[in-house]
Amino acid sequence: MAVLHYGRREIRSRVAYFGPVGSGKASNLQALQALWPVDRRGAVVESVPESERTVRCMRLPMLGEPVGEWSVRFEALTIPGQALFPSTRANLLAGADGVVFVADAAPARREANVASWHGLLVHVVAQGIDPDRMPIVIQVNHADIHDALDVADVAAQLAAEARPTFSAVARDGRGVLEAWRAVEGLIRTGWRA
Amino acid sequence: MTRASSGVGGTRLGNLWREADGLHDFMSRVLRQLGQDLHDGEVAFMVREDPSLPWRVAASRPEWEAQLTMASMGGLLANLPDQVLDRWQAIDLDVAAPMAARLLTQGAAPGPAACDALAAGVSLVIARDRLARADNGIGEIGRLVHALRQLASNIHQAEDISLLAEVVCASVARATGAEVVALYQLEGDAFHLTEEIGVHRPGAPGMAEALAADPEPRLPIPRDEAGFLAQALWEGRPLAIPNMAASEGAKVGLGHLGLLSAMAAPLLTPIDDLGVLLVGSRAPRLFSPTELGELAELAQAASGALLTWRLHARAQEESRKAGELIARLHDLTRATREVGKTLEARHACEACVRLLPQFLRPAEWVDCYLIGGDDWRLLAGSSPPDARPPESWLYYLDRSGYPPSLRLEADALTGTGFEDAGQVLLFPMRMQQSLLGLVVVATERDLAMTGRDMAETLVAHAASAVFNAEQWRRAHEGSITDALTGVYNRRHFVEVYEQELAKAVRYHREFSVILLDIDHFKHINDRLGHLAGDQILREVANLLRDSVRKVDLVARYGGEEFALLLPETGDDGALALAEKLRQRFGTYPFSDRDLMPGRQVTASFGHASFGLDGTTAEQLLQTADEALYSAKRDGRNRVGSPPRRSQA
Repeated sequence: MAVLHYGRREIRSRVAYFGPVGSGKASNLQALQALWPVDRRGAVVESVPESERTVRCMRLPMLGEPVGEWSVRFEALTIPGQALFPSTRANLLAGADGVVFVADAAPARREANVASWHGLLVHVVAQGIDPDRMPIVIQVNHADIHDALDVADVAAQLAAEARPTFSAVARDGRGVLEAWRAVEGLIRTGWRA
Repeated sequence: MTRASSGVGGTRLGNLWREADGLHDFMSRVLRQLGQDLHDGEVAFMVREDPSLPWRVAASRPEWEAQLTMASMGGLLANLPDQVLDRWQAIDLDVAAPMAARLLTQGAAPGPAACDALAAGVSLVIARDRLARADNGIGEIGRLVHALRQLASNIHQAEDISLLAEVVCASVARATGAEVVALYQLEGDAFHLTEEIGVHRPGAPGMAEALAADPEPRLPIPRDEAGFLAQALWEGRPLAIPNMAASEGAKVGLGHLGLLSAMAAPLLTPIDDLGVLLVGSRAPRLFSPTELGELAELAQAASGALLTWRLHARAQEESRKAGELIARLHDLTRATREVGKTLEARHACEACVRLLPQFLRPAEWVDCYLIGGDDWRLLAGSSPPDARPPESWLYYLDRSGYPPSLRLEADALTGTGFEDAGQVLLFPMRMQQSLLGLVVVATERDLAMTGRDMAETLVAHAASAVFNAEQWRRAHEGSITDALTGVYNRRHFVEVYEQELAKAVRYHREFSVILLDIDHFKHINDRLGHLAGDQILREVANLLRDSVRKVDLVARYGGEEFALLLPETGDDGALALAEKLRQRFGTYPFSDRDLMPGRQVTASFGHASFGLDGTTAEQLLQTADEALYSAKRDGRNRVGSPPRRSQA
């Protein structure tokens, strides 16, 4: 959810990086930090979600392009994939305006991708949001491995062919900014509606 | 307990639980499978979650008729396995305690492997259900706990009240899923908006309008017009307004938010009413007691933080004020020291006028008047030298008993010549119940009381300094003046004489002395009395004082003997002056002159000059004295010169 601070004319918006364990969400955030103008972003902060002490999530504050007189502050955060209980993920996901779903291109992670994708949709629905209206882009990470799954195949497995998809190697920064720009664009389109 | 050795295998049943959505779905899937395998015979699943609870039908195939209620089945099954109905078999499934589960079937029983698979499936499904239920519970509580923790962890990072309010509103928005959250602080008798945030969910309309709307000033809402905001604070509990349009009490100054329903939670502590937290929705909706309870919890946490911040801010403000006061007291100490360090009334007044404005900002101008007898004079200030305090002001001061300061409004200035001042502060300078002077300060507007207090203190010090200066002046004059005649006394003469001598030696300057003695003064006293004698002495002193230059010094040297010190005057000048004075005695209109011997007052003179008649104090005075007595010897009423003149 975008939060409008009327007094200072500022929009605060949150983008979640969601996906199965080991798909490269943290690498995405680090790459994003490296790619974003240094004077328009903060440091990556690692925090411990309150409900689960063993899991950590990362946050990156960023300054976006203003909307008219309104300044825009984004926060990109990773949702831990290995959380046993969904409430942790639900709490972290609550308040997100958009999601970058980071799928794993490794064929062995096909089922994990599907399970995580379904988990994401369940959380979105649980918040009373129509998943079709939620800005979600799919980034297929680890595209540099020799038997990497095709982006279109992954989208088909997730039954998400209509979503924007990106091939990425987050460690090198490849595809990271593209996925961000796409989800940011979807979010901003929603603001204009 | 019967466990059939033949029939349905467990493999296909084994994985049904993975696909099942809850226990009922799982049982239905199992029964569907079993029914097919058991030739469409009737199959039922009974479960008991705890030994203290009755059995219930989890699922049956076909769906059992209405009369076969849980209670009747409970009764039925209570007798199992001893009284198994002819056409039924009951198979106990080995599920996790304290659960118990039984499968009822009319046809062939499932095999042991299938029963084991069933039992495991039931256990897993139930465990998963429980887990899900627990997690749901955790989710509900977790949301609140998350919000409270977020609030707690962010509160202490808030550097100011606006940041704190922002943290509170954002946490509340996240926890309640509200569209609008606003924090109003109660200041005085009005609610002041401190923070207001709107929440836009993905896919929801209205964001574009919110962004395009012009920023409106959020005016304070008076407490008696604040409707349910004030009511929530008054009642000390959160209130829900499901339909703002229909609610009488909801007509508060919140129109710009476009809310249709809202909750308001009081921000209060035992110490203070702090404000209200408003949670609003742009649709009419009901709020559950749980939501109100959650909001109350969040408001309570926010109240604590807000109070802490307020106390902190208050403490900081007090500390700042104390620091300022100490600095001003230092200024006051320095100013009073400056005002009091002089023994000149004028200097004290000038210092007072110069230093007073720092305590009376904004002072336009300052005047300091002193009173001498009935006459006022301006000692220091910006008014023309002939300015005088109007009589009416003195009257006001007198009428009000001379307070340390008195403020006069513009109407009291009419006709006084001070009309251009917005208002005037009068500081009477008083010591020992008498009015010494008056300090007048013109200002545009009212002054802070602290500054006025300090100004009063400074003026009191100035009054003390003026009084001391006057006392010192009198004491000093008394110590060097002859009380009867008003000219200097012998001690002062000797002091100045020695200084003059030292200058003459050091700079080779000349100076002379004249001694004179009134002739026959004893006879005057004897014949006319001492009062007449005293009068003659006063008149002689006047004659001498009026006849010499300002630089000359006249002193009463002894009973009827006077001395004159004549700086930069040589032998001839001294002789000429002595002769002039002698002649003036003859023409001076002395009192009772006709009663004097020879009908006149005369005097004999002697003079001496530095260098010619000596270079020490004793030599000079002795020479002058000898000259005086030679004049006496020669018949009085004449000027006696040092012997060297006649020798020359």
